[in-house]
Amino acid sequence: MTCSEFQNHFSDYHDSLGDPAFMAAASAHLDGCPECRRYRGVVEQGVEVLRSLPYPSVGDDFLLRLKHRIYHLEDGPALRRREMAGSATTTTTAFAIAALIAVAAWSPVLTLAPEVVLDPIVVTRPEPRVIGIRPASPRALLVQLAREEAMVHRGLWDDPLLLTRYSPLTAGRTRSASAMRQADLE
Amino acid sequence: MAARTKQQQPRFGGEALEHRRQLEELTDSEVVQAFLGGDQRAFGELVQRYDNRLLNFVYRTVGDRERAQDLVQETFVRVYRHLARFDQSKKFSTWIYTISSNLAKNELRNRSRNPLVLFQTIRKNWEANHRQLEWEDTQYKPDDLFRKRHLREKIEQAVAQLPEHHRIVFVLRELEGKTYEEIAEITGCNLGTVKSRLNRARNNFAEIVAPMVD
Repeated sequence: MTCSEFQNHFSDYHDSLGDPAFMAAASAHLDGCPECRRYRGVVEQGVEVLRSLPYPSVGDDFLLRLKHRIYHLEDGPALRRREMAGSATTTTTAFAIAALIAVAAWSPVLTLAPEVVLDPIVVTRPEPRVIGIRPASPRALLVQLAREEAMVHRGLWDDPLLLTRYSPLTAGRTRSASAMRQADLE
Repeated sequence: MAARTKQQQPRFGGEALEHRRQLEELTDSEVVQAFLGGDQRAFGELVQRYDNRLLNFVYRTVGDRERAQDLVQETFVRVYRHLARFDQSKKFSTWIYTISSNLAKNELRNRSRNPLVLFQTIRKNWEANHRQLEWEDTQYKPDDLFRKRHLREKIEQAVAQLPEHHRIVFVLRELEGKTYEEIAEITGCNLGTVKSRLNRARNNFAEIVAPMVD
């Protein structure tokens, strides 16, 4: 028998559960193996010390608390029955309130919308505005305004010059174009 | 169990000394029969017989004395509620230890819900089951005084360090003196598993306490 086999089956030897052949082989191994002898000694001595430790004892109020718990054993189911009845009442009340609110929300009498009369809204065409062009004189301003008004009546997007006139990409050409027009007008 | 009125509630202690002495001489089965026959004081006798023993077992298993007392209380409450359904052909001590063992295991399982604790427990249990059994004869011989002073503490720590399923079997065998069959019934394992766990528990125990023991 090897040390490994002995330790793997130590409980069989220690508690005398092995067959006679095993017990004899284990005893023979122990006689010749100081390590396994020490192993057995450590286990037995450790358990001896463990058994000598004082038994923990229950507290002074242990029995009183146990009596109290047993005395009230029947209270648990009664309380639960009372709680269920109470919760049923609460649930019924909640449903009733919800139903009342639903009736109030969908009642035709309560959902009549009040009649409100508002003044009609009149929308007028905005006044044309000239941005970024400064006329040389008041007369030129009046002429320019007249021309703008004519352009608006004709249709703002009908005049191809309008698209380029106010574009920053063609600012140079538009300035010269406006200067030419002013010269014509002048 | 039928509901009892307050007048029929059990009364423990303070009763006739003679009746108490008679109960002390009965076996567990006879005390159980006396209780089921209507003798409320018989339950007090059962409590007195098993309170400290169960506390020792549960305390060594869960490691918390206050919690162990709560679990022992819970054990007796369950015994009180279900004693009428107890199979009297079986041993009462095995039954009450089974209840305690299940409560202790539930307690340990609830504690291990922390993911880190769970991982450490799984790893410790796996190593304890799969590590090759080995024994080294250390030459370490600490000072005698130091050794004696700390030996008891070391022994208690050694038991607490065992993996849970090893610890339960070890305590039931070495401290409570249960047989292998009783341990198998209490823990719900087969005989082979009990032997294997006990062997590994003893090996782990020996490795921890060896430096302190001659």
